[in-house]
Amino acid sequence: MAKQVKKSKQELSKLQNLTKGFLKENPIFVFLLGMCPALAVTSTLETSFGMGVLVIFVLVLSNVVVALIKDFIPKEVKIPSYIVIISTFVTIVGMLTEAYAPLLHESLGIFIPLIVVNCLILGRAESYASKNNVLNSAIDGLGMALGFMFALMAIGFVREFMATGAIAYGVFLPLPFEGSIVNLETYLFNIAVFSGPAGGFIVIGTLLAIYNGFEIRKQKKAELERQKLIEEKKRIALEKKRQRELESAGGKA
Amino acid sequence: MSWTIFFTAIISSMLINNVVLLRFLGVCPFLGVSKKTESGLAMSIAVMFVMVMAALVTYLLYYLVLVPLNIEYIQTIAFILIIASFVQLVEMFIKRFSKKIYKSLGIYLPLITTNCAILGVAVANISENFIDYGTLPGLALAVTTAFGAALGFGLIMFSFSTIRERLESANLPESWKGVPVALVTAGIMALAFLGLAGIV
Amino acid sequence: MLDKLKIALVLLVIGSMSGLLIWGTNELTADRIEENRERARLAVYVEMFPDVDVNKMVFDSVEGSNIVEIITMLDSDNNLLGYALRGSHNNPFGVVNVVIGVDRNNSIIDVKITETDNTPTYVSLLPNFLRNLRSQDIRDVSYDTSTGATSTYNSVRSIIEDAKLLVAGDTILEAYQEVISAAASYQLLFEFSDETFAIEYLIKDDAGQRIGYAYHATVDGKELALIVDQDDTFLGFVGIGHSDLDSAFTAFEDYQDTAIKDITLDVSGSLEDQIATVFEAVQTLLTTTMHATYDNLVRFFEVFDDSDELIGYAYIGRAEGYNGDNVMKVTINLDGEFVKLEELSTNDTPNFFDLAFSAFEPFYGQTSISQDDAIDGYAGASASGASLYLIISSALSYHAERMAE
Repeated sequence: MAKQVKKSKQELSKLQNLTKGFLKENPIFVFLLGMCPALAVTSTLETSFGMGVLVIFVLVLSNVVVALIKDFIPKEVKIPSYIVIISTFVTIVGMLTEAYAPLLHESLGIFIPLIVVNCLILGRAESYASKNNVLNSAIDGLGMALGFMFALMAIGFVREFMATGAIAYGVFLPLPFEGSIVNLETYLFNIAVFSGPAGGFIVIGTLLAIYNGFEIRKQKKAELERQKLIEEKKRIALEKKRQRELESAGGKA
Repeated sequence: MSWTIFFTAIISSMLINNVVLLRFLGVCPFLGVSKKTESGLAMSIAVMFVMVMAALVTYLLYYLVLVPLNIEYIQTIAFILIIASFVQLVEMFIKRFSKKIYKSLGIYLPLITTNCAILGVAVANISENFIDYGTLPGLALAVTTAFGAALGFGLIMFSFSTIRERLESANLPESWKGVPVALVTAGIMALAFLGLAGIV
Repeated sequence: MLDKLKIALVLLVIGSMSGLLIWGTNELTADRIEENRERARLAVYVEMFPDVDVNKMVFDSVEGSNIVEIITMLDSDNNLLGYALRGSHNNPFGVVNVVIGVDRNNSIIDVKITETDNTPTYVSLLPNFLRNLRSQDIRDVSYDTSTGATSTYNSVRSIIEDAKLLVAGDTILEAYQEVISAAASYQLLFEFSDETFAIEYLIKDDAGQRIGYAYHATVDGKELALIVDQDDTFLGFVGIGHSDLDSAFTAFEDYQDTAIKDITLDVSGSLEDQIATVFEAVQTLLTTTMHATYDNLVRFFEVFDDSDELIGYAYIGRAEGYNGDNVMKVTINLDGEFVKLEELSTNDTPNFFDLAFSAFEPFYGQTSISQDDAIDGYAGASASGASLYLIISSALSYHAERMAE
C-alpha cells in the first residue's frame, strides 16, 4: 500500500501533471518563482493575461526542446545551452508581440526580455524537462505556465479593481471584438496606489497570506485526521490484543 | 554636459528608481537571501561587481558590435550570454584569488545569472539612449547608472534584512509569517520611496 | 579532446539553430514592427490633426535649435492644416521630447510630451500646465508659473521658445501682403460649414486697424484667398503658399477696386469658372450680411418673418471660452430687445456650457445686461459664461450704436 502511494506520487497522471500548477505547485504562491513580472506587469488584468500567454509559449517550447535534446547536451554546458534555448524563444516571442500586439509590447516593455531570467522557466527545464520525455515535459510546461498565468491574473484583477473600480479589456491586446470597460460601480473605493509599485507588493503579500491560510487549515485538518486514524488503529490494535488475551485466557480456561 | 549629471544618475537610479522597490528587478534574491544581514550584504557586493561590469560590457557590445552589424534584435540572447559567462569568470577568478571570499560569496554567484536586476539594468541602459551624449560619456553614464542601481539594491537588501530579523521574532498570525509579511513590508517601504520622487 | 570537440559541436548546433530561428522570425516580422513603430511615431500627430493625410506629411529637419523637425500637415484635399514641431531638450534628469501642434493661425493645438525619463510623478503634473498653452498664439505665448516640475517644464518652455522663432515666417500673411501691403496681422473670424469657401479672416495693419477681409477656399486642390478691403471693395485673389493659380487670377484683374456688390462676372475657362463660383458665394455673403466692427462680433444681418417683414437683426459673435472660441448668434428685435441666443460652435464642456447658456435666458426681452446681474447666473461656469456675456453685451451695444446713427 505504502509503496503504491510513493509510485503514484512520482508518476502523476497526465491530468494531474497539467493541473498541479494551479494550486498545489503554483509557481508564484508556492515556489515564489517569477516574482519580478508578478509585481511589475500585474497593474491591469489584461497585461497580466498577456504576460501569461507569452510565458506559456516560451515555457512549453523550451521544455519541449530541452526534453528533445537532453541526451545530446554534455553535462558541463547544460545551463548555458538551456539559457540559449530559452532566450531564443524569448526573442522570438518579443518580436511577434511587437509585430502583432504593439500596445502590449509597449506596456510590458523591459519585462519581455526579462522572461529569460524568469527562474520558473530555467527551473522547469533543469528540474523537469531534462529528466522526462517530450509529451510529459510539454504538459508540465503548459500546466506550470497556466498556473503562473492564473496567479498573475488573480493579482492583476485585484490590483486593477482596487485602483480603478473597473476592469478594462481590449486595450492592450488585439482582440477581435471592440474593447471596453466593465464598470463595477465602485467609484467610492478607487485607490490609485494599488496600480503603483507599493500596491503590487501589498496585493501579492495579502494573496499569499490567504493562500497560506487555506493551506495551513488543510494541513491542520489532515493532521487531525491522521491523528484520529492513528488513535483508531491504536484502539483496534488494543481491542485485538485484548481479544487475543481474552481468547488465550479462554483457551487456557 | 556637466559632472552633476553623474551625481544625479546615481541618486536617481539608487533612490528614485530603486531597482527592487520601484522597478521590481531582483525581487527573487531580495526575498530569498535577505533573512540575514551578513548574507544580504555579501550578495549585494557580488551583485554590484557583476552589475557594473555587465553594464560596461553589454554597452560596448551593443554599440560596437550589434549596431554596426545591424543585428540589434539578438540583444537579449547576447546580453544574457555575456552576463552568464561573466559570472563564470568572476567565480573562477575569486576562487583562484581568495578562498575566503569565495567561501562567503561563492554560493551567490550562480544565482546572479538569473537575477533580473543585472539583465534589466543592462537592457534599460540601452533603451535610455545614453548614446545621445556621445559614445564615451554615454558609457560612463551607463556604468554610473549601474553603480547607482547596485547601491540601491544593497541599500534595500541591508535595510530590509534588519527589518526581517525583527519580523522573525514578531508575533504574527501563522499564515502571514515569512514571505507574505515581508512583501507587505516591502510595499510600505515602496510607499516611502515614492516620497523621494521629487529630490532631483 | 573528443569530449571537448563534442561540447563544441553541440554548442555550435544549438547556437546556429537558435540563430536561424531568430533570423527567420526577424525576416517575418521586421516590416510589421517597422510599420508599427512608424504608426506609433505618427499617432501623436494624428491625434492633434485628426484630418491629416498621413501620406502627405512633409518632414523637414531643423538644425541648431531645440526643434528637431517641422512636419507640415495637409489634409486629403491639400489644405494646410498646420504644423507639428518636434523638439528635444536635455535637462539634468534626462531627455524631454515634445511635440507642439500649431494650426494655420499659429494658435497652439496642443503640446505633448512624447518621451521623457524625468521623474514620472513630476511629469504627471505637467498636463495641467500644458493644457493652459492650448489655443494660445504661439508667437505671444504666456506660461504659467510652474511649481513642482520645474526642470521638465523649463525644458518644454525652451522647446516652445525655439518653436516661436521658427513659426515667425507666415505663409498666409505673406500672401496677404501681395495684395494689401499694409497687412501686419490677421485674425480668424468665422469658419463656414459651407462647401464653397471655408474660412473668413480679418486683416489688420500694424496699428491694429481693420483694413480688409479674406475668404479662403480650395480650387483644384489648391488653397486661395479672395481679399476685399474694409468697405468690401474687391482687391483680388491670391494663392496661399503657391502661385499655381496666378494665370487663372488674371481673368479677375479687370474687376479690381470695384465694390464687390456691383460686379457682374464674365469669365470663361474651367478653372476660372470654379474661381467664379467662390467669387459669387462671397458676393452673396457680403450682399446679405454686413461686417460688425466690434471686437467680439463677426457680422450682422436683417431677420425677416414669413411675410418678408423686417423683425429684427441677428449678430454673430465669437469670444474665447474655456476651450477655444465660442461662436454664437444673438437676435435683437426692432425695439432693441435681446430675444434669442443660439449656439453656432463651441468646444466647451457641454455641462458647463449649458449651465452658462441657460443663465442668459432670464435676460430675454431686455435691452442691456449688466455683468453684475449676469455673473450670478453663470457662477460655476465662468469661462463659458464670460464669453457668452461678452458676445451678447457687444451685440446689444453695437446695435444701440447703429440705431443711434
